[in-house]
Amino acid sequence: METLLPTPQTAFTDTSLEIAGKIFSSRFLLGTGKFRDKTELTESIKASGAQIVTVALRRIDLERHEENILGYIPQDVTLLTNTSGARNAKEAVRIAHLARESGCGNWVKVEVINDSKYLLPDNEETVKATAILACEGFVVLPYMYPDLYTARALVKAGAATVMPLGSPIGSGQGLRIKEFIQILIDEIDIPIIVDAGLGVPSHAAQAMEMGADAVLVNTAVATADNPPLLAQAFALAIQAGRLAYADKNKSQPTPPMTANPSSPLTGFLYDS
Amino acid sequence: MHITLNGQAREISAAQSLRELVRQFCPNTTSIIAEVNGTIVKNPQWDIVMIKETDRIELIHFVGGG
Repeated sequence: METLLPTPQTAFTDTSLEIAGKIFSSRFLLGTGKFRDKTELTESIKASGAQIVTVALRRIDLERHEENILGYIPQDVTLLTNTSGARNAKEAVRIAHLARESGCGNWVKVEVINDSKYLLPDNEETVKATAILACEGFVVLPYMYPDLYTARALVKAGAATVMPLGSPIGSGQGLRIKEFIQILIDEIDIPIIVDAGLGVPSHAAQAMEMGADAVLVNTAVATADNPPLLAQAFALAIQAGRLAYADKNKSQPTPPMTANPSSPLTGFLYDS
Repeated sequence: MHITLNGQAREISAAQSLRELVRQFCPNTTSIIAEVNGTIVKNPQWDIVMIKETDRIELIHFVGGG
């Protein structure tokens, strides 16, 4: 027998995610790569509730007809063009200019990668590209390796958000450097969007429980047996993590990474 | 006439506009962005930009990506 999932009721009213003055009720950004079937992409976007989706730019393959991906993306979502393929700041800026020319807006995910094994972002070139593009009026969401100094430089450069990786792109390893993402959450005043490496919904829930403002997922949904199902699962996990975070007393700092004894520190069986 | 189109050497008939070139090579593709010798050419200009010998032309479009 088929049944609809019960809709949880909560009295909690969340604050909205605000990026560059634009308000979003969803905290789920969905990538559009690797979908086997483009109609599943459309269904996944709807199931995810995502209001921001990423796309990339590539040379047209002149030997075979390729469908226009934009035809499968609902028109009410904000398109975020990824500069994937850029190996340095100059190439990222060129891709951003091409994207803007298409008339699809001026939101750009700066992704500069010069390492084909781990696909780790080049933080230094990312800061350079962010500064140039923010100056030109782009809304820049830079993908970065979670490092506090880089995050501060990105804020200074005019980034709209900071997007630290959880683990290498497409690896599904989850939050392998979570303590350092936590430092960014605690210290950076613009939205922190955990991007890359989230393999299962519980990874997304964990990022949200830590206080991330949003997460970006692509591979885990696109390569699922049933992408719309996983899109919905991630959406629920993101909401669950957000609710859990909201229950914390936000005035309390995250527990420091030092020991806190559970046994008394008095009455030791030796003379000091 | 020799040109480089999307990184590949091509031979095309002379006196073509950019729009004619796009129609010839990408008849069914929409939302194309064009670059000639490293400079973006806006769509309304495609009729008046004529392809010249040794031009490097890039025809780009959106694809799925993270």
